[in-house]
Amino acid sequence: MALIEIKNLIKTYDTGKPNEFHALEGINLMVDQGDFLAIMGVSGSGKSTLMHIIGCLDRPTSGHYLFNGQDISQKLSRELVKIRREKIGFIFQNFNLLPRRTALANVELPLIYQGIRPKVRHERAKRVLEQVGLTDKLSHKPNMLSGGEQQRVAIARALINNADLILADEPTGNLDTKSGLSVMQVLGRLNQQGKTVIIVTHDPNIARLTKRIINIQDGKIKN
Amino acid sequence: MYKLLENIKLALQAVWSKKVRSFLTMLGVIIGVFSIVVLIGIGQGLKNEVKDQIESIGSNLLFIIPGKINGGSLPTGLVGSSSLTLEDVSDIEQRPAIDSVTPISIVSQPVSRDNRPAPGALTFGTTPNIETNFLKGVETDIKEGRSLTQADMDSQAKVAVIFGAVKQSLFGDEDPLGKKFMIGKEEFEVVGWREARQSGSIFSGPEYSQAVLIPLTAVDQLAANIEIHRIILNIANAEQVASEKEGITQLLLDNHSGVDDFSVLTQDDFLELIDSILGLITNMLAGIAAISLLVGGIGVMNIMLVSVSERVKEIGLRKAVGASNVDILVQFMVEAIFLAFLGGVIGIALAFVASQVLEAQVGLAPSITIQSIFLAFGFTLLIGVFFGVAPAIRAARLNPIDALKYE
Repeated sequence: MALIEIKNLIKTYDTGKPNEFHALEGINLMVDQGDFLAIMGVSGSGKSTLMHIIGCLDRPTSGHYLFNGQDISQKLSRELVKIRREKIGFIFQNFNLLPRRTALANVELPLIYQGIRPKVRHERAKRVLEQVGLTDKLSHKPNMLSGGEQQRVAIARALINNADLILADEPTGNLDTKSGLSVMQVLGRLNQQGKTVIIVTHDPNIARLTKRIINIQDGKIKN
Repeated sequence: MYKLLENIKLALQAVWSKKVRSFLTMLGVIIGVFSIVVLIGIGQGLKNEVKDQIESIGSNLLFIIPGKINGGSLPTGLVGSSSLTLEDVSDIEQRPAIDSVTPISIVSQPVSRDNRPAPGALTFGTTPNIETNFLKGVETDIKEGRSLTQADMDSQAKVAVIFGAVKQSLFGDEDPLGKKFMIGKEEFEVVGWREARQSGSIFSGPEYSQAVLIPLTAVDQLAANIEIHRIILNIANAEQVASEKEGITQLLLDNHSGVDDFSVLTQDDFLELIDSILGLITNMLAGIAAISLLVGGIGVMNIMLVSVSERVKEIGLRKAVGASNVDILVQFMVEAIFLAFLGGVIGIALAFVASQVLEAQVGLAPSITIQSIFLAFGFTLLIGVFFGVAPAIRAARLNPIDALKYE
C-alpha cells in the first residue's frame, strides 16, 4: 500500500487577493513504504510547500493527500499535531536544535509531548544516538558539536518516535561535502532498515544518492 | 503530568538563563507584594495597639458624647457646642448601678505664663475622680503634688493639675508646684503635675500629655456657662454595662425632650469605631499598593512578549515535533506564573525583614498575618495568569512553518 498518495493537489496563498500566489498547481505523487525519494527544484519552485504539506505542517487548498490512507485535507489541526508527533520525523537545513540543551535532551524532545516518563525517554534517546554514532556525545550541547554531528543529533531526534516517514528539508545544505555525505549515508542506512525517507534538495549530487528523483518547477512535477 | 514537570523545568531554565532580566521583571511584583503585605501589616499592628489601649482603660466604662454616631461613622458633635448638661450629669449620678460619674468640660481658652504659650494645651474642667477613674492608664510614676479635691470643687478654686507637655511649655525644667499661670484671662495655681505615658501611638499618647485639669466649678469663671462635652461613667458591675447603656439612653432622651443628640458608647463601641476607621485606612493603603502590583504584572507581560518573539524558532520546532497549541500555551503560562510567584516569595520575605526592622526602630510591629500572605500570593498568581495569558496565546497561535523560517 502506498504510504503517501497525492492527487491533483493545489496550494494557493492569499486566495482572492491581488497578490494571489499559486505555489502548487496540481501535484500527483505516490510514495510507497520504504521508498527513498529526492524532491528537486530551484528556490521558489514549490518544493518546500509540498514538503510542508507532506509533513502535515500545512493543508492543501484543494485536492487530496492521503497519508497512511487517511485524508489529511479533512483533518483538524489538533489531529495533524498527533500525526506529526507519532508518524513523522523532521530534519531541517539549519538543524534547529535547542541551543542550551544537551544532545540527549534535544533528542528526547518529541517524547516529552507524548507524555513519556523521563527514564524511558533517556533510554530511547541513548539508543537512537547510538544508531547515528554519537554515543560519546550525549551530554554535549550543540555549540560543542560540529555541523555534521549536529545534523546527526537532529536525525536521532527524527527517529525517536519510530516514525514511518523521515522528512529532510535540505539536510546537507549547511554542511561541507564530507559531512553531507556522511549524513546521507545515515539516511541511506535508515532507508535500508525500512524507513520511508523523503529529502528536499537542489543539489543533484545529493539527489543521486536516493532511489528516485522528482523535479518540481513552477508548482508542477516535470519528468 | 510529565509534560507539566517538564514545563516547570523549562520555566526555571528560562528564568535562570536570563538572571538580570528576570530579576528586573520580578522587581515590580516584588515591590507590589512587599508594600501590600507591609501596609496591611502596619494597619493591623496599629489596630492591635489602639485596641490594647482602649482595653486597658477597663471594660466597665460607659462614655457619653454629644452628637450621634451611626454605624461606625464619626460623630458630628465632637467639637463645638454640646448638647449635654449639668442636669444630665446629676440625673445619671442618681442611678444606683453607677459607681462614679466623671463629667468633662473642654475649655477653649489659651494657656500661657508670662507670655509663654502652651500651644497644644487642652483644658478639661472636671471632677477629682477623673484621675482614678479614667487617667490611671495614662499616668506614669512621675507625679508631683496633689490631685484636685472636693474642697477645690466646693470653693470653685482656681487650681490645676497639669501634664508633661504643658509643664514643659510653661515652666521648662522649673518646679511648677505653687506657681501661677493663665487660662484665658484667669490666673490658676499649679497644685500637681503628671507625666503621661509615652505610648508611641499617634492616637492617645500626646493628647493626654497636653492636658490641664481644673475643677469643673471653676469653668464658670472662664466661660459664660458650663457645657459638658464628655461624661465618663464607671459601672460597679461590668455585667450591667449593657443594661445601663439602655437605661441612660432612655434617661437622656427624656431630658432632651426626645431628641437623639448624644451617643452612649461602651468600650466595644469604641473598638468597633476604631476598627472601622483603621480598616478603611488599611484598605486604602493596600489598594494603592495593589496598583504597584498591577504595574509589576504589566512588566511580566512585557517581558513574556519579548520572550515569545525571541523564541519563535524554538516554538516552531516544538510544534513540528508534536507540541500542541495547548502544550505551548502551558509552557509560557507556567513561565509567567513562575516569574510572578517568585517575585511574590521574595516580596513576602522582604516584608518579614522590614517588619523586624520596623519593630526594632519604631516600636510598631506590623502584624503579618497568614491572610495577608495568602492575599499577596493569590494576587501574584492572578497577575501571572492574567498577564501571562496574552503572550502565551500569541506563542500558541504561531504557525510552525512561519516560526521555523523566522530568522
